[in-house]
This record gives sequence, structure tokens and C-alpha cells, in this order.
Amino acid sequence: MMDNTNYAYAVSRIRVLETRLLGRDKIDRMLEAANAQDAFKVLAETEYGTHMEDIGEAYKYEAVLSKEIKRVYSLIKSLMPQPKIMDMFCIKYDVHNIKVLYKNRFLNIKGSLPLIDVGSIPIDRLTEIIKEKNYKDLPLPIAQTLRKLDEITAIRPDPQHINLMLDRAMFEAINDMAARFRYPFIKELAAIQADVTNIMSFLRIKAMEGGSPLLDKVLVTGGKLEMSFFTEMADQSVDAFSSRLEYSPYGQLLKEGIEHFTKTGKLSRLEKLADDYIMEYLREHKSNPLGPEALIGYLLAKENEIKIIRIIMVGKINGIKSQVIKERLRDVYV
Amino acid sequence: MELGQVYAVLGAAVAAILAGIGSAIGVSTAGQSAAGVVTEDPDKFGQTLLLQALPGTQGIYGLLIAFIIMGKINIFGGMVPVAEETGLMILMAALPVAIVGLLSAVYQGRVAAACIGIIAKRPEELGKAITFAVLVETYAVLALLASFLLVNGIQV
Amino acid sequence: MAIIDMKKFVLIAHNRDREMLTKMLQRLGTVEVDDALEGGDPDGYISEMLQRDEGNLQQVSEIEAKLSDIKFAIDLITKYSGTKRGMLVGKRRLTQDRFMEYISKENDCRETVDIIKYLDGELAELRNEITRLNNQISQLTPWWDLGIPLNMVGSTGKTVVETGVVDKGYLEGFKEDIAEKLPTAYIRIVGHVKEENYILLIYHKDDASLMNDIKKQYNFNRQIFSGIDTTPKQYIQEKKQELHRAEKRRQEIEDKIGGMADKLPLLEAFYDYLSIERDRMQAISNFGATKNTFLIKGWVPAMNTGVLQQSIEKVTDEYIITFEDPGPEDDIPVALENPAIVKPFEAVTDLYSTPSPRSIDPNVFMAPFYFLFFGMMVSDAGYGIVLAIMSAIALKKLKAEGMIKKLLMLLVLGGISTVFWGAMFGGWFGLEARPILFNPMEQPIPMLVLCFGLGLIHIFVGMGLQAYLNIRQGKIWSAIFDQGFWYVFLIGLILLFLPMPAAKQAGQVMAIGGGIGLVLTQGRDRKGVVRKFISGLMSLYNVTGYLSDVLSYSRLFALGLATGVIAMVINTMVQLVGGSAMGMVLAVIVLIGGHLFNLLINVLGAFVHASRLQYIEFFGKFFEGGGRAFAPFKIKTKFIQVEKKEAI
Repeated sequence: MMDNTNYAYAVSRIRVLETRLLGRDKIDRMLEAANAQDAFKVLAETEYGTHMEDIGEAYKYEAVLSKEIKRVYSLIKSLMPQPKIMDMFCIKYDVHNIKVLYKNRFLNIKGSLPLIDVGSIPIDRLTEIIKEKNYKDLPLPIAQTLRKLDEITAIRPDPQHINLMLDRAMFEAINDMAARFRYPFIKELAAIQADVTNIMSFLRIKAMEGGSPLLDKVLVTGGKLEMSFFTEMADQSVDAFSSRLEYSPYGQLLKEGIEHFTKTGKLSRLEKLADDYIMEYLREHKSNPLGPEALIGYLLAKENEIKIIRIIMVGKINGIKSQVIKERLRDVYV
Repeated sequence: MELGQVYAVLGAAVAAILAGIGSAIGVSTAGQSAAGVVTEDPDKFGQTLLLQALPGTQGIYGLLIAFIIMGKINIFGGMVPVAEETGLMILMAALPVAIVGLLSAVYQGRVAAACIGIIAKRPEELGKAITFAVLVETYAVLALLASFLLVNGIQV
Repeated sequence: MAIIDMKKFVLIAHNRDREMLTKMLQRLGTVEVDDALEGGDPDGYISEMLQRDEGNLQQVSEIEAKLSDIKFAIDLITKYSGTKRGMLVGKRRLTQDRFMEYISKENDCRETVDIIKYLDGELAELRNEITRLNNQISQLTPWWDLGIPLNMVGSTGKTVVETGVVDKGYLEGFKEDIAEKLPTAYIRIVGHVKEENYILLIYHKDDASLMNDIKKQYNFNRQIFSGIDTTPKQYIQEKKQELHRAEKRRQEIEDKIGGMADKLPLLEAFYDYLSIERDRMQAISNFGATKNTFLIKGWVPAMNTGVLQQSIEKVTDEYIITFEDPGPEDDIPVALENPAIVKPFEAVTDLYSTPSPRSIDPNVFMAPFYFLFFGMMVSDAGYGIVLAIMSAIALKKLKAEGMIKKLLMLLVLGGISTVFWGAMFGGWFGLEARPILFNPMEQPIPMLVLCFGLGLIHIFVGMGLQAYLNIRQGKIWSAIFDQGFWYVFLIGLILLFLPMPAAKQAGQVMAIGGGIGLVLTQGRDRKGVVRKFISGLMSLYNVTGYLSDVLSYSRLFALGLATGVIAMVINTMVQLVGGSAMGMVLAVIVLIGGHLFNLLINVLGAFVHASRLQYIEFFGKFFEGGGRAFAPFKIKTKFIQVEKKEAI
């Protein structure tokens, strides 16, 4: 069903762009830079440089990063022969914006909100939708959830509850979209993302004292691991959980991540391993010259790169030693 | 006009049409890929052009057989009479280059598109990239030869 | 033979001679410098004592910064001066004196770069200003006819003067409502752009609330202008003048930058001078250092050890140098040496892979086959002449170096081969002349036999090379079993197909003998008699591999056929259109254009397919790639070429 010939142009453009992702050497140079300004200067030599003509100060790095993510999304959107696929990846920004706008109904902050203009729905339009409670243009699961929220929160809004419900709706919406494409790569990717999200939530709740009642609320649909599996495992130990999944595709990452978790109580390592797992999945598939794989792979690689830059810049601005930032990065990026 | 002549002309036409279509598709797939690379990196024009041209040969092979058939029935200087069976044989003889030409060009175009991806990242590996794409063409060459020997062997 | 023997060397000398020695090595250009601190301490040198001279890395990055500034200046001047510098243009030649003169002008160079940077900054500012002015103008253009100074817009004592925008759909209603409810108000449509109408409103202050309701109803979008005290018309005219001035200024600056084209030789000379220095610093950063001495580890071709030592003597006599043969663990760099006639064919191998240092250089064996195959595939003597002459001219004009030079030489040789085969087969620009050998179009079977025969020889030479490699490594039995038996078996099979009964008999004996030999030996690394026998038997299946290898050479015929037939098509077309005067013109165009196109396509095809026959059919038999090309520490320039290298 994919009209493959249209992808030839897009994919080979991406192949060139892939060579311009920040390499090890650039990241090392940023790490080794004497101060934030010098680290920022390294960025000026890269693709980020185009946004930096008028943004000279290092502490304004966020502006550069947000311009870059906007640029990358609109580039991929324009390249993608089936732009609808992009909705699956834009929706996280839409949901972020919806959360902010929805909560602002009760907070009533005037002035600019922390919205990200990368989603599939323009911010003005989204503001209007939320203001007028006219949800019919939103993906169905999200619209339904908002209507449900309207009924409950009229009395007492709970921000965490809003977040959880909307996250769930987002995964449902992603599933719907993935199903519509009938393309194994995309379905699989959506399933992996749902699984990873569930595994992370499960362990986070495990780490919390008495969090188990929450579990039902945080699990999302669409993964290859059934939701009932997680509820079943709710009362069992983390190790039991890991050994039940030993022969699943996630066995390796769980083993390593949970080892680190029981030793340090931190989930950061597992988070990184999960990211790697997704990246590895993308890497395996991106060689297809006539499919969306390379484009999506590039998009997520770019998001990962921005994550790394943010960690470095935050560290540098706060005067944290490069050794410590490196340590922190090692969890995210090896 | 005899039916035999019609078959022979059909053979020539089929060879040129199918192999030509294949090359057009193949070259366009590879061409889009090349355009993608050149958009970002204009210096790679020469190398990508080389790869783009590769799926173009099948169309030439088809034309070649078409032309040999034309020569055989002397289309430029008043057609010679062709028996019905002979005409059919000529049509059949054109099929290898027509069909294999069509498919091999389409698939060679895909390989060429992927190989242009190699050039995007490692321009120094041009030799390997070309080898991958050329391997596909072998079968078009063999089909051309089969068609040629067949057409050549048919006595009009 | 053709892979040059390399020696490892270690050179230790005094720090005070470091500068001179490094310069000398760079000029000599025959040693590769490795990282002295890597690879542990296998040679017995005390690696703990060695340190890296970090200062040089610092210098490298300083030079890099300067280089990128100069490059920027060169690019900008080139852009605005309209001087084109194609990829294929040769380097600027400079005499040594001239070069020395240039590099003595460091201040001049720095000044030029500073000026360019300053001017570029100004250009950026002007560009911003031009955008700003254009915005201001386009914002006010709809108000062109307003006629009153913009500072009058606003409230005065009793009246309100307002400007704003109303959509086309609302306009009629807006006007009617005002006329009906506020007859005293003044309304004028000043201008409109697409659906938007630009409106001037004047009304009494007391009517403000009523007016506000109407404005709201019809979506009146108020526009406010601050800080402008002239009419829009005056304002726009003013801004247009400013714009004109800015654009003129931009042109001036661009011309000024372009006018600095006479500084290009200086900048380019300096760029190369600095990049040579950078290379030297980089090399030094690979040296090991102690307090008073330094140590260089690297590779040098065995035949150049004498020259190297002599050159060092000229600088100093306080040094130690040792040469050593490479060990089995060493990553030996590969340099090839071939006679001039074989050199061009190195391009074909280079495109594939550098040979492994422990294999052999295939070029000398590959060259004659490549030469023959290329010509057979183009196979038109006329085309051959054109190709050889055009490539020779390009070679001369471009003063190309390296890969491009090799490729052009290859085309010259290919052209010569094409003339040979064209004469053999009787093809001259698609016209059929009397062939010396035979006409493949008419005699396809002998042509195929010729192709397969050449292919067999090619494959047998490849197998022979593998046998040679086996013998050189002392694996004589492998050579006999893996190549010898195959030779016997294959030749036997071929003889079977010959019409002479004697040959048939000999063939039978050879095929059976060779076959038995293969069955008995090919499974020799398996365990157990049964397994040995089965894999020996299975190995006979490889005969299909040889068969398809040989059949692959039929492309020599097919591609030659393509050239010839298309050339004939072109000639036929020319005959068809000829006749009238228009026809003659058309005929000439078709004739020249068509043949050029055919030549181009077929040369590409011949190049690609002749390479493929080497890569797959020939190299597959013996070649081991993956070598690392020898990268000597030498003077590398981008823009200039100095006649005498001693200057640097």
C-alpha cells in the first residue's frame, strides 16, 4: 500500500543529513569546553548554527533547540510522502500542548504558556479548541478523554490525573493511526513504544511505596505485552518481573537496567537502555531505500541529539564539572 | 499486409516498449534518490549521475532487438513477406529482452537508489556501489543475448 | 612485485633539531608517521618516558581557526568577483620567489581577512535593514492615499480619528450600519489588499461606545501607527529612498569585496602555507617526547631507507634510526608501484579496495584484460579514435592529478583498444567496413566463443594467482588440490565439447581424473571419512559457479552489439531525415548528437562492466582487499603549486 517510489528522494536526502548529526567529536568538544559560551560556540559550526545568527547568548540555548526541532519536524513533514505518518510523532507535542492549555483553564495564567509549536494542530487552533470545548477535530480517543475530564474536573481538577488520562488517550490514538497504515514497521514501532512506556511505568510504581493502585491508571494499550500481564505482576518482585520477560525482546535491556536499578535505585540506566532499544530497532530498518524508516529514524535520532545538547548546556550553565555531565550523559548516551 | 508481418512488428514494439518502460521506472527511482542527495550535497552530482544512468541500459537493449527485427523484415525498404509461424517466432524471440529488461531495470533502479545512499555517506565506496547495481544488469545482458541469438537464427 | 615493501622505523633525535627534521620529512614526503604513544612497548622503548607534546594540538586548533577565516574570505571574494574556479581547474603555479614574497606578507593577509570580515558584518546589517524597510513599506502601502499625517490618528479634543481593517464580507454591513446609526461619522475606504479593506474613521467622542459595538460586530481591526509624523505617502517615499540607499550601499560593498580579487593569490598562498604548517603540527603531535629528545615511529618504503638516512644526515648527525621488517601483527600501509602503462588501471582497483598488504597487487595482471574487454564492449573504431583524442585533450587541459588523471589515462588506453577491436569487427561509426576478424552481427557464435575463451583465460589467470599465493605461503598442497585439480577438471570438461575425437578422449581422462581428485581432497578439513567424501562430492557442484562466471563474459558481445546497432540506428535516421535544407541541418544535429550520446552511454557501460568483470569474476578468485593506503607525511596544497619545494 505504500507508494514506494516517492520515498527515494526523501530517503537519500536523509542519508546526507544523517552525516550531519552531531558526532562523538563535537559532543566531546562541547563537554570539554571551558564554559557554556564555548560549548555553545561548538553548536554554531553545526546545523544549529543557522538559528544562532541573532541568538548569541549561551543561556538562550533553548530558543535554538526549539527552533531546530521545529525545523526538523517541518522538514520531515515536507519530505514524507505520506504526511499522515507524521501525526503519530507530532501527537506527543499536541498532547503536551493540550495538557498545558487544559490545566490553564483552572490556573488562568495570562501571557505566554510553555507550548511547543511542533504538533500537528497549530497552537492558535488548539487554544480555541480547548477554550470552546469543541473537541471534534481532535483524534477520537483524545476528544473522548477530554469530554470525560470535563465531567470530572468540573468539580476538582487533579493535574496528575489529567496527565495520566491524556497519556493513555495518546497511545490509543497512536494505535489507531498505526493500524490505519497497515505497515508492519510502523505498527511494530508503536507497539514497542507502548511496551517500553508500560515497563517504565510499572517499575516507577514499584519504586514508589504503595503505588500499586495507580498501576491500572497508567498502563497504556497497544503494546505486545498484555496489560493483564502487568497487573498480574503487580504484587511480585522486580526480579520476578525481569525473569518473566527474560526471553521476550526486552529481556536483555531489563536484565541490565534492573541490575543498575536495584544497585542504585535509579531508573535512568533503564531509560537509556530503552531508548537504545528503540534506536536499535530503527537502525535495523533504516536501510530500506524506499520506505519511511529512514525518515522516522532520523527524526528520533535528532530528538535524542537535542536531549543530549540540553543536558550538556544545562550542566555547563550551572557550572557543573564536565566529568559529572559525562557521567550523567553516560546514562543517556554512550 | 500479412499476419506474419504484424507479429514481427509486434515483437519489435514489445521489446522496445517493455524494456523502455522498465528503464524509465528504474532511472526515475534512482534519479529521485540522486536528487535527494544533491539537494543537500551538490558536489555529489557526478557520482550519483553515474549510478542513476545504470538502469537506463535495458531500454537500449530493447531498442537494439527492435532494430534487429526491423532489419530482418526490412521495414525501411519495403517489407519482406513473413510467414505466420515465422512472425510468431520473432515475437517470441523478443520476449526475453522485453520481460527481463522490464523487471531487471525496475529492480536495478531500486538497488541504484540504495547505492546512492552509500554515496551519500561514503563517496569513496563508489566502486562497491556500482558493483551492486551492475550485478542486477547481468540478467538483462543474458536476456539480450538470448533474444539476439533467437532473432538472428530465425530465417525469414 | 608491485606492492612496495615497507619497513617500520623508529627515529630518535634532539629536540633542537625537531623543527628542521620535521620540515625535511615533510618535504621528502616518503614516510608515514604513526602515533608513537600507541601500540604499547613491543620494541623495547621505554614508553612510560614518552609524553605527547600537547602544545602542538593547541597550535593546530589555532591554525585551523586562521584557515577557516582565510577560506571564508576566499569564498566571499570568489562569490562577488564572479571569478569561477571549477573543480577541474588546475592549481595556480607559483615560483619559489613569488611564494616567499607572499608568505612574507602575513600582515597584508590578516588585514585582508579582517576587512572582509568587517565588510561581511556590514552586509549582514544591511540585509537586515533592507528586510526591515521592505516590511515597513509593505505595511503602509495600503494607506498610500490616506492623505493625513499619521500622528493625527488618535483622539483630539472632541473627535476620534481611527484607522483599521475590515474584511470584504463585513464591509457593506459596516458602512450601512454607520450610515444608519451614526450619520455624523466620516468613513473612507483608503485602499484594499485582497479581502482586506483599509478604512479611515472620524467620529465624535460621544459616539465612541456605539461605534465600539459596531466595530466589534464587523470585526474592525484597529491599526495604530506610532512615531510617524508624515502622511503614509511621504513616509513610503522616504523609506523607498532609504531602501535605495541601502541597496546601493550593499552593491558598493559587494563590489568592494569583489574588487579584492587581486588578493586571491595572496590568500590562497597563505592558506596553503598554513595548512602545510598545520599538517606538520599534527605530525608532531604524534611524536613521543622526553625532556630533550623526541621519537618518531612510522613506515617508510624499504627502497627509500637510504634516502631517508641521507636526508637526516644533512640536518644533523645526532640521531638514532632503526629499521625493522613488519611483524605478523602490524597494520602495514600499502603503496603500489607499477609501470606507467599499468598505472591508469590502478584506478579500477582503487575504486574497489586497496589490496591487503599480505596479498598481491592485481593491477599488472588485470590491466591487459581490462584493456581488451573495454575495447570489445565499445567496439567501434571511430568511437575509439574520438574517445582517445578527447580524453588526451582533457588530460592535457586539466592538468589533472591523482584519481582523475588515472581515469583519463584509462580512457585514452580504452580508446586505443576500441580502435583495435573496431577494426577487427569492422565497425566505423556504425558503418560496416570489411572486418579483419569477422562481423559479430553475422557470426554470433564465433563471437561468443571468443568471449568465453577470453573469459576462461581471465578466470584461469585468477586461479593461477591464488595458486601462487598459496605456494608463497607454503601451502603447496592447497595449490595442487584447490587450483590444480580444478584446472585439470575444467580443461577436461572443455575438451569434451571439442569435435576432435582425440581431444574428447583426453578430456574424458582429465575430467574424470580431476573430478576424482576434487572429490578426494575438497572435504579434507571435515572430520570423518563419510563427511570428507560428501563434501568432496558436493564441491563438484561448484562447476556451476565456473559456468556462470564464463557465461558472464557474454556481456562483451552484448555491449559491443549495443554500440554497433545503436550507431547504425543513428545513421539510418540521418538518411531518413536528409534531403531538404532543413533536413540537412537536422541530419547533422542527429548525426553528431546521436553518436556523442551513444559514445557516452557505451563508454559508461564499458567502464562499469569491464570493472565488474574484474571485481566479481577475476578478483573473486584470489584478491584480498581491505588494505590501508600508505599516507605519507608530505606537502599537500589546495590552491597553489610551488615549482621548487625547498621554499617550505
